[in-house]
Formats: sequence, C-alpha cells, structure tokens
Amino acid sequence: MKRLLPYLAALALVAQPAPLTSCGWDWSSEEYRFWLFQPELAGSRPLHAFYFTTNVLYGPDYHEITTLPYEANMDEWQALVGKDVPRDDIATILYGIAPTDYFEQQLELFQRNAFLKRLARMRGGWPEFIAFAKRCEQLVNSDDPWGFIEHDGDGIRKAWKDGEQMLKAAQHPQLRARLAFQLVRLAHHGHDPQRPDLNARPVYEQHLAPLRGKSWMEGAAAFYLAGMLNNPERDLAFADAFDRATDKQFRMVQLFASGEVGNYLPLAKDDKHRATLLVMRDLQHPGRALEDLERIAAWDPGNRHLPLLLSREVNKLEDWLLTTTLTDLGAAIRQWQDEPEGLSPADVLRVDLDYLKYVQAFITRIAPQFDAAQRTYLELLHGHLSFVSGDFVSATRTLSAVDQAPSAPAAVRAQARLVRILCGTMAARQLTDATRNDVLALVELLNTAPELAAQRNELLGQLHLYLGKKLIDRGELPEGVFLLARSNRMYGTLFPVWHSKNARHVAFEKATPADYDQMIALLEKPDKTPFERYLTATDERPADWERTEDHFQGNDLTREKLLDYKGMWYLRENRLEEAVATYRQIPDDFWTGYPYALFADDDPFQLNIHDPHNYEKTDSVRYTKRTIVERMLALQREADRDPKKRAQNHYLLGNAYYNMSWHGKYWIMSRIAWSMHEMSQWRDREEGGQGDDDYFGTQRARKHYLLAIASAKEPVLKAMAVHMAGACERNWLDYMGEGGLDEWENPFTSELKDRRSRAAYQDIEECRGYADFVRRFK
Amino acid sequence: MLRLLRWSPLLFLPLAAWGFLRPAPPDPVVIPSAFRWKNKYWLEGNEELAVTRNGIQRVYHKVLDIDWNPAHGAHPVSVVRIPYQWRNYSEHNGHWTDQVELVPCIYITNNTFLQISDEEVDELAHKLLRKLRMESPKLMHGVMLDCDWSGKTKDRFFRLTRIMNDSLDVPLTATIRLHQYAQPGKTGVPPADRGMLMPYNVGKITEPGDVNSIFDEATAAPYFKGTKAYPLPLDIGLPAFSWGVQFRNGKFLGILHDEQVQQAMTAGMLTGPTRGTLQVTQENNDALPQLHLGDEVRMERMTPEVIAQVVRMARSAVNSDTLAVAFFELGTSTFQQLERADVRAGFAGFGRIRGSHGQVEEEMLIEVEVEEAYEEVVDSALRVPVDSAVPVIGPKRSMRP
Repeated sequence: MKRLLPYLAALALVAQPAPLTSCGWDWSSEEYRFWLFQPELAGSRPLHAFYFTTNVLYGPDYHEITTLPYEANMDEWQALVGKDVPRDDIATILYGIAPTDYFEQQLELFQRNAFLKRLARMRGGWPEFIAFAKRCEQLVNSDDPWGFIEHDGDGIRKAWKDGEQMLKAAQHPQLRARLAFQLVRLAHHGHDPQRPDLNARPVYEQHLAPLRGKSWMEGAAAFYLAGMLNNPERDLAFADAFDRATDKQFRMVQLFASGEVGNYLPLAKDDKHRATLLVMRDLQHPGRALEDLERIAAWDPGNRHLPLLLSREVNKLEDWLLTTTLTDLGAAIRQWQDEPEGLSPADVLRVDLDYLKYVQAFITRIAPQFDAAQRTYLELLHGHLSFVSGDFVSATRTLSAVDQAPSAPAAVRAQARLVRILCGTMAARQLTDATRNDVLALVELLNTAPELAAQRNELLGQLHLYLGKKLIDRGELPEGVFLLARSNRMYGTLFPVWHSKNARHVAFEKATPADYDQMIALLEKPDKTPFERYLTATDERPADWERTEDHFQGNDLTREKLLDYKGMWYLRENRLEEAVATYRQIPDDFWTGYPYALFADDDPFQLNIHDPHNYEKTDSVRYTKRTIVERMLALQREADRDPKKRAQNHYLLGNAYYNMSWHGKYWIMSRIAWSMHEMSQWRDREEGGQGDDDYFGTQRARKHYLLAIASAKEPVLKAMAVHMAGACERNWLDYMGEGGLDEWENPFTSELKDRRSRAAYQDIEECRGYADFVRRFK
Repeated sequence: MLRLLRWSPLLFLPLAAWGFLRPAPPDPVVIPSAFRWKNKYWLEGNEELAVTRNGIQRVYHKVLDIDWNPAHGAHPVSVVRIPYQWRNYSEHNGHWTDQVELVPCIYITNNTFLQISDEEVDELAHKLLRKLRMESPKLMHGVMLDCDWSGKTKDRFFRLTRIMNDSLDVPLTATIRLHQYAQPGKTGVPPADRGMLMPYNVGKITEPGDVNSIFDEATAAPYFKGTKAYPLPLDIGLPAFSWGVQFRNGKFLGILHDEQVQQAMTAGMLTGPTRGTLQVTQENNDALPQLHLGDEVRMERMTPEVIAQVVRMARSAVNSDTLAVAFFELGTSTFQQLERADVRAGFAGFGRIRGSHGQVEEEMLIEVEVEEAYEEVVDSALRVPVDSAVPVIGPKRSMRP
C-alpha cells in the first residue's frame, strides 16, 4: 500500500486547485466561507435566494418561495368562501392536485371537497372557473406537447377565447379579477411577437389595476405584462412592479439585466423607481455596493430593502476580512481570482477595513430614516461590523444594547448575545476563568437557543473555527487546537496532499514540545474543570446538542499521536536524545498501526539510490521510529569513540538522514504526508517550514557523508560516500532552484585519491556490483 | 332450331376449357413486416436481432400516441423518435434506410374524435403532418393511422384520414378491425390507400372463462364467412404477443404484462398450468401488491399453432397482388422466441415472400452472424412464452393494433 501512496498522492495533486475555465472537481467556497451573521435576520423571505452567498443562489428554500404566494392566494379565497371552509380543502384543490388528475376526478371532487361544494353552491361561474384555472395551469406549466414551440400556443389561444367568454359572463368582481388574472397569465406564457393577438393590457387595466394594494393578483399580473416587453421597458416595468409583486421578486431579479442599470436610470419615472433599479442590481452584486446604497438612501429614504442589502455587505466583509485570516484559502468570493496586481494582501486588508468603516458610517447616517425595530437591526449590523474589524469593546457595547432592546425580535437578540459573548472572550489577552465560562456559555447558547436552531450546526462550526484559530494566533495553542478540532468547517488543505486540514495537522505545523506536553497533560488530567472537559471532548452533554465531539474524535488527537509529532519536532531539530526519550513513551504496538505499518519493510540505514523508496522490497531489517533513533544515537556515539567505525557509521547516519528526507523511504520520520510533486510545489510556497533544508535539500545527510569520506579507508565505502554526498549536493541545488543540473559533476570525486576507490566509484556509476556495495554496509 | 340448340352446350366448351386450362393467378407477394409499438425510441438488441434473423423488410413504427384533454385538446401523450437505424442525429440516413422499409404509425384514441370539432380535426391533421415532417426521415414507405373508430367518430376520423392522404406523397394505411372488415357498408371504409387488417383482439377480455381473447378461432370465424373482398387493398397483422388477464371473484381487474407474470412465477406466487388459468397462491406486497390470494390469471398466449390458425383464416382476406404481413410486435418475447420457420410460415401462408431486394425468393432468410448468440438467448430463456412488452390495457394505454 505504501508503494501506492506516492502515486495516489500524485494523482490527487494533479487535480490541485487552480483557476478553472470549465467544470471540474473542487471544494466549494461555501465550505470555507466564514460568517457568523445570519442573513435570515434581514427577514426578506421573498428575496431569500439573494442573501449573500458565493454560490449562485442562497438556499435553496423552495418552501419559502412557494409558501408566501400560496398563503396570500388562500387568504383571498378564504375571504370569499367563508371561514367555515377548511383551509386544507382549499389548498388541496389549488395546490394539491395536478390538472390532469383534477380533470379525471372532477365529479368525485365536487362531491367530497368542501371548497368545491361551496363554489358549486355559489354558482355564477365559480365551479367553471376552477376547471378553467386548472386548464390554464396545465398550459402554462407544460411544454408544447407537440414540441413545436415552448408552450402550447394553440392551446393557450383556445383557452384565452374561452376565458374571454367567461369574463364577459362573470358577475362577481372577484371572479372577474381571477379570470382577468388567468388571461394575463395565459398571454404571458403564450407571448409570441409573431402572433400579437392576446392583448392582455386592457384586461389588466379594467379588472386588475383597480385592485392595486388590495390583491396579490394585481402585482403578479403587472409582472406578467412586464415580462412581455422588450428592454429597457421590461426591466423598468419590473422595477415599477417590484414591491407590489413579492411572489415574483425572485424571478424579476433573476431576469433583470443588472449591467444595464446605468442606462436605465435616466429613463426611470421618479427617484423611488431609480432606487428600486439599484436595489435589483445590488441584490446580486458580489462586490462593494455602498455607493449604490448611498444613492438608494438618498432617492428613497427608508427604502425597505436597505437592511437586506446592508446584511449582504456585512456578510461580504466577514468573508473578505475573516475568511482570509481564519483559513489558508483567502476570501471565498475570490476563490478563482488572482491577487490584484501590485497590491499585497496587507493592502487589500487595509482597503477592506476602510470599506468596513464607511459602511458603519453609512449605517449610522441612515438609521434615523427607519422605525425603532429597524434601527435596532441596523445597530446589530453596526455592532457586528465592529466585531469583524476586531474592535471588541465597541462591538460589545453596541451589541449589549441590542440584546437588551425590548422591541428587538428574539432572533436579533440571540444573534447579538452570541457575538457579544464572543467579543468578551476575545477582548481579554488570554483565557481567564471568566472567558472560559464565556466559551461554555456560547456553546450552551448555540445548542439551546431556539432562535439559533436553524443554523446551529453551521454556527457551531464557525464558532469553533474562530475561537480555535484566534487562540492559536495569540499563543494559546493547546486550547486553540482542541477547540478547532470541534469545527466541521474547512480551513485549509494539508500541504502538499489534497485533503482538508484538521486540528491535528495544525498542531503538527505550529506546536512546540511544550504545546504537545500541555495537550497531553490536558488529555490525561484526572480532575478536569468543565472547560477542560469541553476542550478534551470528555464533557457530558444533553443528547439533543450538536455532536461536535464527533468531529473532535475524527481529529485523532491522541496521546500517542501527539508524542509522535513531538518526537518528529525534535528530529527536525536533530535533538535525537529528546526524540528518543519521547518515542520511548509510546508503546511499541502503536507502530504496527496505520500508517506506520506501511514502512515496516523498510531499512532506513540502507540506501539504494536507484530504488530509494524500496519498491523492490530488498530490505530485510525491521525498525520502528524508536529503534531507528536509538540506532542513530548508538552509531553516533560509536563513531565518536571508535575511529575504525567512524566512516561506516557516518555513512549509515547519512543514509538514515537521507531516508528521512523527501527523497527517501522513511519520510514519515519527518512529515505526515508525502507527494511526488512536493519539490516543485515547495518553490511556490511563500514561507518555508521547519527543517525544509534537510527534508528537501538533504543537508544533514550530506554532512554525514562528508564525515564518512573524511575518515574512510575502505575504497568502496569511500566511493559510496562520495556518490551519496554528490546525490545530496544535487538535491540541494534542485531544492534551491539554481539550475545547471544538466552539466553538473560530482564535486566530491576529488576526494577519491587512490586508484581502488576511483575504480569503485566508476563501478557505482556504471552499476557494476552496486547492489552488492549497498548490501555490504548495514 | 331445336337441333341446333341440342348442340349448344358445346358452345361453352371453349369457355370451360379456358377456365380449366388458363394459368393460375400468381400467388401474392408478401412483404415480411413487423410492428414496433414501444414508447422508447432505441431498439433493444433483441429487437434488432428479431428483425435481421427473420428477414423483416418493413417495420411499422409507432411514433405518436394522440389523446385529448381539456387543456391541450388533441395532443401527443407520447412521441417516439425514429430509431437511429433509419435516421441518425446528423439527419443522415441510418444503416437500415435502404434495407428495412419504415412506416411511421400514429395511434389516436377514439375519445379524441369524440371530443374535437371538425375544425379541430383539420388542425390535428396539420399538426400530425408537421410532426411527421419533423420526426421522420426523408425516405419512408407509408404512414399508418391506427384508431378504433366507432359510428360516432367515423366521420371525423375519415375527415382526418382524407386530409392526411391528400397531403402525403406516400401511401396512407388505416387499421381495420374485424367488425369493420366484415361490415364495410355499415362501418364505412376509411379514405386511405390501404387497410391493415387486425384479425385478433376479437374476444371479450373482461369475461372470465378460458376463451383466449387475443384470438379464438370460433369467435373470429364468423367475421370471415361470406365476406366480400374489402374495398381497400389489405395488409395483414398477425398477433405475436401474450399476456395474463387478472380476475378477482370472477371480475376483470386488468392485464399483467409478461414481465409481471414472469416475476410472479419466479417468486412462486402463481400456481397452475402455464398455458391455462393460474391461481395466486402466495402474495408479495413488495414485488406485486396488486396480486391477492385467490386471484386468477388467465394466460393468453400466441403460440405458433394459434398463429397458424390466424393465418389460415386471414388468408381469405387477401385482395391484392402485394401485401405486407406484419407481426405484432417486435419487442415481445413471444415474437422473439418464435422459430424462424414459424415466422416464415406466417408470411408464406399468404403468398410468396418478397426477396430482400424486391425479387421473390424461395429462401429469403437472412443469415446473420449473431445466430448462435440468439440461439443461446433462446435456450437459456424460460420456455414459458410469456411476453415482456405487451402493453397493459387501460384507459390511457394503447394496445393497438
């Protein structure tokens, strides 16, 4: 299996993230976008799809999209037929039965459905209307069964004629309105510029326009009429009907040609109309929208969509400022964007922070335009932005006021409380008893507050990510790693192999031996405080709380793993005594598990440069990490005291260090993952890691080969050491990216002064007896 | 004078001699054909094999099912594209274009004609013609209309037939049921170029008992007795399908198509003679919840012997020198499992089989390389000749012709 690992890793790396020009496998930006502000608080249900997201649409929540217009329609029907008709019976006929089934079961339905029975009693064309409406539903919701055009144009025209007759005969004003609505709807779906025979506008003007503000049908019909126009008239008409046709807002924004708004503005009939054009544009705008928001507020003070649009700005700023700092992946909205030319990440950060301040100032400026409840919501946005900018004191002050505002909805207060407590935790320089309790309070709040239930899982993931990363950054790594381990969010990939990084990987990258000791001590502490029990996922919690401990367990933050990582830290520092002392704390059977067992057949002291990963399985001696380091120490001591053994021991130590590098078979002594593409990727990294010179450049191995050359008498040993020192030199040059490897010659051959060692070197170069030479030194 | 009259019979001698000695009229030429009546457009491997191994030279391929509803009026409830064997995606000919003749077929429910006005008939005809132009390849050998018209709908169906016939430059065929065949004066003759006689489905499927409703010689015989030549040249359809008719307490419930019968038998739900009436002796609510303990399933199978009865009876209906004899239908295991000789006997029972290039051949069977593979399929198949693709009878399903 180990033989396959490099290939599997390589295969994964071939698909590494890169700007795509077509569809391909990748992680989703929403998996790592950071947010703590719930956009649902804006309360704009019809525009739910346009809450900020890096996906095409937020959601989806079809229930919300359909429920609103259904409810409005059923309210109007209920008012007509009376409250004694069960609402379920109305819903069954209007939304619970397909037209084809209705046609088939019509007689039976009129016998058992209270709504239809009532309509039958009312007579005057009502029962016929339901059949007509079902017919229209079938026509507008289906393709042309002949496949000639989009809809069944002939069927629609026949229905239109029948509808006109019914409208002429209808007496009841609501029946006339409903028939008129069906006609407008038919005209919309049967619209054919080549056949302008369905003139719906007079029907609308006569029967629906008078219902403006009284019935949902007027706005919806206005949408259908607008949809038959060409731009710019269509989008201008959409903007005109936008606030009247809430059930069609989603579709209008979808159809709206955002890029044309600049041209539409001079054509708008008034300022409010102009403001709505900008609203429709900004509902999908992924970048900074403040300039538009300023104009909206100026043209239409108190515009009802401003709170939603500002929520989008808050979520954007969370992404730009916090996703960037909490993950290795940059702002999610910029997933496929290159870095702006000539700007450093710090420049971008500064500009984004400036923008945040402008948004806050704007919120303060427009707040008086709104009523008390909306002002509280704007305060929440303002306070949240303070949190995003790291101004925890100011955020705490603002959010405390929101939390205590009696007029604020419970969900708004819960959001304020959540971030306020978090601010309190972050305002302290380090964890205190109070802030530890705050963390536990946050967890409890998220698990118990009904107002946060809908997003509980996501919020807990984000909270643990935020707390974990922030604590690690400020030096509280053990606590940070343990909290991070409870997050289900993505925050980076494990370099260089392709998979999501977890808290243990973060520990490997950042922890020191002291951190490992603290983590192990925490795990093993007998009488843990509630906070320590939470950190180590040994707390007892109600069954209905989110099981974040499952994520923790998946991180495999065990004593043995942490000791292994600690030992590796010492190895990278070449502190063998401390490394072996660490490894002696690990039971031997630990090394028989995955992934260590994959290395069980490898001898790290033997090295065939033609098969450095032992694919040929020629090794015969078995080691564990402990016995490797023990032998390295023994070889070193023996070399120091016995000049006769010095050359061979340094040669074997050179082999061990070489095998512990990226180039060798026992790389797991130094790293937790390996990829054949690592060397080329290494050059793209902005920062090097601990021990990179030895891992990629084989410097430590080179040093021991040179010591072997200096003391070697035996010609083959000397030649082997020269050969390997040369290999290390090549690795170094390759690692440094200096080039010139094509003309490269081993600079250490000058050390081969006698004929026999030169002959041996020649044999090595020409693969004569090389395998025997390899086996000779163990 | 009387003496002369005494010799007068001799005057008829030359006539009688001519009657005895004149050459017998040549046997009609038979175009070996099959129906393809499925709703998926691609031909399964076994269907393609059934065409090649039986030397089928013409396929009557259903392309449209037309029904009526209040919203769309008369409209297609299914559209089956022409398989790529005749028309590929680049609008070029398929590899069967010059080998197997194609006749697109349109099934129209009788209810459609009950619902639509004369103007709508005209409109339907124009839409059908437009759809045919859209869906059909350039080369086709006719169009077939299938409708079980009644006295109430005759006029509108004939109106549609006339309009289409006037507009098509290939022969238009209309299906003819036995009662229409037997009483053309009463039921009328559609203004088509040819008729496709369907000498089966004459029995009452809903009646319990052991009479095979697909074909029963005694039930069909009266339709042929004393019947004059039909006014239209006729082609002949032959039944090659089977099904199970389900009864509960003696009342008809529905049809089980072959896959279902096969499934029920495999699951041990049915007991009894495989060619007679089976009894449901075990229920399985997951597999076939519609079968209840005590239900009876009358197996109606078209065996080579029954098909031979149909051939013998329908032979008298032949009224032209060239006719298509078409098995219904290509996708059924009944047809696919018929021996080549049985299929050939079905064709040859009406005349000389047309060669694959138009000439009459005594031996016209197409040798196919896949023969062995086919035999393997047959050998390994359960030799209970139940169909896999017989459509279920119901108000919405067409089971014609």
